[in-house]
Amino acid sequence: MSARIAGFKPLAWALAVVALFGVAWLVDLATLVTLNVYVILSILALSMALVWGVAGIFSFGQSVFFGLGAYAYAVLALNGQGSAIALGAALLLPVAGAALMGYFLFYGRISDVYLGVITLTASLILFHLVNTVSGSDFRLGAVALGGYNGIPGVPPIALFGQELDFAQLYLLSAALLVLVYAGLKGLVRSRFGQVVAAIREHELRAELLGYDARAHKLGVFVIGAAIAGLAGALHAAWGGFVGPDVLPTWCWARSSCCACCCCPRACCPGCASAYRAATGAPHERPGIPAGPGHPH
Amino acid sequence: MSAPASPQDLAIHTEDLSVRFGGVVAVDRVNLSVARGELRCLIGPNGAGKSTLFKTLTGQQAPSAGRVRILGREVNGFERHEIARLGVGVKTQVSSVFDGLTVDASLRVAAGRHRARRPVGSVVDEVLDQLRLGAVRRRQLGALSHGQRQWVELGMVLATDPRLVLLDEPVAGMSEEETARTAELILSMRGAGRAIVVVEHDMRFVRRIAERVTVLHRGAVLRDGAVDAVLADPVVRDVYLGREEHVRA
Repeated sequence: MSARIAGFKPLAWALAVVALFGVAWLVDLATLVTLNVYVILSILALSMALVWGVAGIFSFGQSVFFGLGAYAYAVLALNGQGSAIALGAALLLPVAGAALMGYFLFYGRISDVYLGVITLTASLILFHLVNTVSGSDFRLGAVALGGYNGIPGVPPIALFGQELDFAQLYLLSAALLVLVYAGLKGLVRSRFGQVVAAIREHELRAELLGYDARAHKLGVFVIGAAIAGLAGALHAAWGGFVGPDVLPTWCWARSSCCACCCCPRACCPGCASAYRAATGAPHERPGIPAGPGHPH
Repeated sequence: MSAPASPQDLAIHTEDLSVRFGGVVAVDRVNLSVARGELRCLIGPNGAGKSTLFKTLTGQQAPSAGRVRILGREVNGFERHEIARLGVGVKTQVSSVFDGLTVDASLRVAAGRHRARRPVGSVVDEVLDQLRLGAVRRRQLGALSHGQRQWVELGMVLATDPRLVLLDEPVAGMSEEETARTAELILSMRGAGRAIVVVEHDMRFVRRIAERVTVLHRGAVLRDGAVDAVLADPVVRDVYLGREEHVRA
């Protein structure tokens, strides 16, 4: 039975990918624009699936990195930089933010719900900070940050000197979604990914084997931030706008719903570890599977 | 007897090691030396400080005073993984295994830290052979029996090819049959200069595996020597039976 299902798996994946791209020619533009935001949030959801689902890091901070990516892209694109530089910055700024925040979190041995509280607070602080920078003095280059009004008129992504229209942006987002998924699948199967899964299951045991859990968790956190930042940049380019609404947790909540709907197997270990952290339940608690079937 | 080994040649060497929790002295100026290749049991009644000493040796608990030298390196201030990387394999009192991973995946993660960097696959096969757990290699740890989980944890320790093995109550909660097999397994881990330290309550198990024992009581070393002599010592017997006049005197 399972062998037969395994035989169909590549075919099912191929069909899913064909459907993901083929839909661009099948639906009207308005529907495609809506679908595009789902695809972009699915990339954000994948960063959640990695950080929470695979590594068990109960982070509410993915929206922070999503927002940093969106603002980095918007500010640089509006300052006349090319899409490559703006997208590069949308990866690098969240990476730098995650490295700084993650260093203090993981090397300070903060975990479980405490990490959730701190990352949630960080997202709210950034949300309120961005809300306040509404005066004309708050500029980065030629771009006014706009406070709660956000930054309008964000240019679309240009590839090979050609600005992408809505359909092309959808195809780019879909291609990036497939690439990110495949990359993460490879990461989870790699030795690094296996060690990260082991750290999620029992951090002390992994350390007693000689693995530095702090460095591994920081690595995953930073990779997750880069993916969230990429999603943020796509979101800014999709809407031609970025505002502080991308930063707080409603965005995270939306992405986590997306993560659990799109990729429940990836989320289950994270949900189980969060449940254990919140309730103090032991690993063996009946009915709470300790990481069933995460994708490795 | 040969000349006493220098601290550099010892697997474990502590000097006046103390651990305090507020006003409670859990480990009190312990001087412990374990030679390379030795199998030592650390015994003592509940609250004697065995587990605290064990945690201090493995970097899980910082000492309040004194020095700890493991395999020739002073490890005060070392992180847990840094001590492990010296070639120290640890099995904790409450079994610590990767419940959501399979036996195979768990051993592969452990074999990734093999001291001589041998290929992971061959190390895993060897360990599974030694543990006789080949039949369950594809099963998740969370689905195994208590004894099997303990053995997989021992297997993870073995897969790193440690020079010093520290085992905290390896047969706690095991049946008679499982205990016998664990004793066999621990004895088979000896060799190639590998030192093994076992913290244990079960005296029959201690007699079965140990040559030399150290008795802890109230955080301090009470007796240290050959297993038969120490276990026959009236003071040690009284400590275990709860009569403590000898100790207070």
